[in-house]
Amino acid sequence: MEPWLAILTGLLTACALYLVMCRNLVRIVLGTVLLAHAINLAVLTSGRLTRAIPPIAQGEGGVPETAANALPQALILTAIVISFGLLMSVLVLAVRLRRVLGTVDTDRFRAAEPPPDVAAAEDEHRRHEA
Amino acid sequence: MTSWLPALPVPLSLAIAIACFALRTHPVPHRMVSLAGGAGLLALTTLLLARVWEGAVLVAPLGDWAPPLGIAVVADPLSATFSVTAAVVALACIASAIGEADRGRERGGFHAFLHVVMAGCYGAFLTGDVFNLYVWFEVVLIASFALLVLGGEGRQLDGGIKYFVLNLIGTSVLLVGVALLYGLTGTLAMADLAGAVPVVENQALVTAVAMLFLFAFAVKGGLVPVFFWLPASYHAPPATVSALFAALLTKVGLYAALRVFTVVFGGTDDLGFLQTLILMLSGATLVIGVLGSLVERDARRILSFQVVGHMGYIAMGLGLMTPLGLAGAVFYSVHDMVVKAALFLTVGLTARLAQGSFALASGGGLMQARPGMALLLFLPAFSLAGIPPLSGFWGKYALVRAGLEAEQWVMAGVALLAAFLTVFAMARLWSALAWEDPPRPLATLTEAPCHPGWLAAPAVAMAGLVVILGLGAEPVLAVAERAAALLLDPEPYVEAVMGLEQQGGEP
Amino acid sequence: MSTLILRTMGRLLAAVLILFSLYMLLRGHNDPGGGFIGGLICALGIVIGSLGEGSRRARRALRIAPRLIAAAGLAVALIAGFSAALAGKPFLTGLWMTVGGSHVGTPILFDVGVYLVVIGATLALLLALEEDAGRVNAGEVEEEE
Repeated sequence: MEPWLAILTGLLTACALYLVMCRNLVRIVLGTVLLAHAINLAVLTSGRLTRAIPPIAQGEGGVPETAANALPQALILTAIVISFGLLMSVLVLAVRLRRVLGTVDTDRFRAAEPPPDVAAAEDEHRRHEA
Repeated sequence: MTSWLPALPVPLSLAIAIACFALRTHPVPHRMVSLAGGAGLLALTTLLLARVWEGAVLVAPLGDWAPPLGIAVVADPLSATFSVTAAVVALACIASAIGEADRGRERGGFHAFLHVVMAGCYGAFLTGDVFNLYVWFEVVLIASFALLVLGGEGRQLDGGIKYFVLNLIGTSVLLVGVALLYGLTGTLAMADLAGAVPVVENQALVTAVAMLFLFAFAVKGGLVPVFFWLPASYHAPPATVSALFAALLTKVGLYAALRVFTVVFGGTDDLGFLQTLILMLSGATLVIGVLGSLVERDARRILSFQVVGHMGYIAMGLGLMTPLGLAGAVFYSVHDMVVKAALFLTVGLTARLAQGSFALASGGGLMQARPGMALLLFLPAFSLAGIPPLSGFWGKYALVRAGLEAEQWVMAGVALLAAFLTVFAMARLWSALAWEDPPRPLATLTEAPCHPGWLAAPAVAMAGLVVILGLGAEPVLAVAERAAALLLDPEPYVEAVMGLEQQGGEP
Repeated sequence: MSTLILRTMGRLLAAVLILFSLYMLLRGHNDPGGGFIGGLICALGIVIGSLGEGSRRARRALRIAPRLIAAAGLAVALIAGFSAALAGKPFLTGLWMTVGGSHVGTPILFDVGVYLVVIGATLALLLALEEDAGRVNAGEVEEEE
């Protein structure tokens, strides 16, 4: 089972990286979602895949010997919570960007880093302002 | 030794953030709560540093569960030194934000997000668990992202998306590394990993995991070749936010590297290979970062590339992994946090009160019209360049000497070359802003309301700290040496954390 | 978006989901459930309601700004963590007592805090997204005309 899940993780990661490297912002956001899924699968697999009963204490007897290791699940839950929060913020940002810059093509996101010729022209303008 | 003290900075920062958020529509109490909170955290972290000054290790097991089952918060000289410096920078940035008097941003929760960023930084500095470290990285990421885009200008959103996506990939890789490390050793507590990693049979896998950690910390720490998010975003928000980011965010990444590559991976077979790789990254960072700053035309972009370049010095100390190298890295981190905050705050001050823009083309004339400001810019700029007796000199001296002692001639040469190029970059910055004739006469700009006193005070204080840190470097170097000793021989750290008796909560 | 079917069912679903979220929150102590999943379900209920009725009405029905709910939840969770100090135990240690035959403790308070943080943060972002998307769509219509 582990090799199949490893291959699936790899596939998901490849798709995620392909999407993240696209120029379309929506695809980039989807890529980050897929990457989070791939990693959660990796965390699950690294905790070993075994058939076991839920690790819940049975009365005075404590946790039974055959109980599953709950830690990978706890880690995944935390990671899901975090990636959910990150996804929400990046979605809000994407919608704002679309409104403010009027495009989702990342090649046209030059507001923070204008091309050199534009920057040089701005500098010239500043020098002759006075 | 168990103590409540290490557990306090994170929840208290969050409590201050809540108070700031609740009061955000009342300007005066809002600002005072934020400022008092920042000062309180500084006092608390100073107390923490005083308690571990001699090399003690304080442990707070959360929920009364001792590691490796539970998560412990651990304070040692390294984490306490970083926490105190971060608290100093935060206090300066809070004062400067009060000076900027941006009501729109304050209503959006500026001070609350700032304190959440600080909670994340303290969490990352003080945690003793690698998964918890990942969680704090994400807390810092999401809160700093909110600070970065607060205000919603196109410039900020554009920088924000690059910052966010590239950092997200970095932390995702960190999570894979944490997962594989858990799969290999069955534990996540750093102190437990110190003993568990060297006995893993398949050491090649450990090296692969270490590569994942290195990639993640390099992204967070802005090392070449994965630094591109940094110069794309640091110049977009107001100068106060830039100062906070430049001082803290990259240092959180390299703090984690200092901790993990010594305590956790210190006993692996391939340590030599890791060191060589880190040294190569640091050399490339030093050269490319500083060269990048030479071609920029905007003061804040010059400084952004300087942030990248000087992370190379800290990585160099880590790569050498000698007592002097690590001590130099710790001292250099303290110096770099203070000096980068000072530079961004001062550049923000001059742009706000004298020149109206961050572009070098519109700068000049400070020397004649505002000699005080020219001096204020001179001190941190030339401390960064490493002119004695300012603080940058001692850090560079320790690192170059460590490089020579370890017979890393090329690395020592690169470090000196980068220092020389930084002198050039800083001279260019200073002469463009202070020495040359301005394109138009300087005037006090009054287009936006601000409180000049609140803006100037933190810049002056940080510049003063640069001088103090230079003239009185000895105690800081001493504590840095103790921190380095504890990293190279983590036995006391491991004993303090793993020696706790398992109490366990009742069901 | 605001059809009769969505409005009627939205209101119904919102009520059921909010009630169900409280059940999930409380059963989380010994069974699958808890503050996070409960908070998500509650937020989902409110968002479904707001799809029919519009986000402005949803905000009015909440009475408190979502971000303040999140801040209050964080405060509740911190109080739960600090209450361990009263017993001289480390931060976040659970304190338990028996009230009327049932076992009550600070972890439940902590879970309530998480519940509120999740509701507040999710709603703050989702309602903002809904309003932003509305504005973008309106802008597009103007451009096409």
